[in-house]
Amino acid sequence: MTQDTFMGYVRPDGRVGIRNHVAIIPSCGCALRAAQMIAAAVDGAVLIDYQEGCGITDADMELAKGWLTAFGRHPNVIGSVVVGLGCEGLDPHDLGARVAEGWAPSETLVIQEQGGTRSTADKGIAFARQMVATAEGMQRKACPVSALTIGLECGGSDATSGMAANPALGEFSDLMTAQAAKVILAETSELLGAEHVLRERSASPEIADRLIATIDACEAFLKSTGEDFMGKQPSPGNVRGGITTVEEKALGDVRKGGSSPIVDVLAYGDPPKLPGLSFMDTPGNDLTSVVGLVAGGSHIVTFTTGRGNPMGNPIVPVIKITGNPQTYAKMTDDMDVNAGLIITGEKTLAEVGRDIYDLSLRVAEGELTKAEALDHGEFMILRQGPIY
Amino acid sequence: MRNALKLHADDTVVTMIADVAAGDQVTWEEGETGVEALDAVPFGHKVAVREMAAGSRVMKYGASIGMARDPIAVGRHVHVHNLKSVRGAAKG
Repeated sequence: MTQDTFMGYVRPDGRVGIRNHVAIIPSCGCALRAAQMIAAAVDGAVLIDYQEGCGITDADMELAKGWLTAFGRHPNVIGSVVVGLGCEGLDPHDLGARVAEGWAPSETLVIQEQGGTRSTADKGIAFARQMVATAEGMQRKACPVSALTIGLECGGSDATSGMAANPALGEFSDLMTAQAAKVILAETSELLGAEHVLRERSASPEIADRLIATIDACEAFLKSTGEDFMGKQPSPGNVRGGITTVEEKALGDVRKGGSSPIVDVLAYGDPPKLPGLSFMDTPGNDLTSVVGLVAGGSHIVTFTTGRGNPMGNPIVPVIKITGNPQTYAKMTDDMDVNAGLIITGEKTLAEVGRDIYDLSLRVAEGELTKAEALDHGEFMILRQGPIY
Repeated sequence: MRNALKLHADDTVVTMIADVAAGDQVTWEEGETGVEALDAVPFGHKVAVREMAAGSRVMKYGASIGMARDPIAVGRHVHVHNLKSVRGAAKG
């Protein structure tokens, strides 16, 4: 097998980036407006739309701080401005200090110290402009595909997802793992009923046990609400699209991972340590799951959607793949790949898997995804505890 | 011309890749007659290709996707009205 390469940005810490974004990171919802003003005023700056940061449990606070830090230090980010209010639980100076430990420049502005929204935004705009200007001197160099981390996601699924888009993504995943890239399968609540497949696919009995324990814990937590999964897993749209039960959805979902062995089980937002296919414990909710995949260092998220979810991410390109030919025709502006050609018999799973692979390398080299062209930057972070 | 996909030999249902009306043939292998649809079934939805007793497993992808609520005749639309999740119930 030849080692494929792509043109990427090698960062001073040795990691590889595929975009040059400046991240504007609020430490709480009350700082959001100032952060919005900065991101809106500076071409090249993106808003990390975080809205909590106060009145949450210590455990949720610490985790959120870690995941926001991971966004600030993501290899696609060349600078960041942390915007705090001053009285929130999530200390913006601490967050800013953690982000600043990375190679990229970072500044922290606190609204109650800066004299309000306007003066904070003005200073933030100046910082962000300086950071954006540093991209000028950055050159892409040939990098091995093994430098990439790829997130696998499905959302807004219908019956075509399990028959066409997900198995095609499985073919893509196998091409990526053959190149020793890191690939992440996720969405724990969408795997109930596919445990036998996951056990077979695990690289060792110990990995299988950890994977099943993760699914069991998710099931117990969701059932502790006293509510049936129906209406959530599968969602009302999944049901209209022909998916009846969570088991049926799971058996379709698990096909995203292809045939490579699962080598590790990761907590939400943790970066994979090993080449090949890892599993990350994320919720089925699309926004929350994608943020976990990106906090874990994904450069690209590949996203299958039968019904058509247009979402993106502020710092990472999201490639949209639909297995439903009608959805592709209706939502061409949002869909990057038509895996509906598998349903109509015009292409094979392997051909579409190769198409996704070729597109992902073009995207890694700078080609914009449909979600990027429309400035989709959805952001939602995992929270387990209450809001006080 | 086939209008449905059967994903595994053990499956008791097929998935439509075209809408069918009641009385239309459902075929998943070229040259075979398949089964007659007893209901109108839209694209993406399932049709029973084997008789299923109440309480028996409904199979797709070669695995259980839940339990038949009632007896399901060959040709019936299989969905939330006659197929129940085993794993997604809050209790039991």
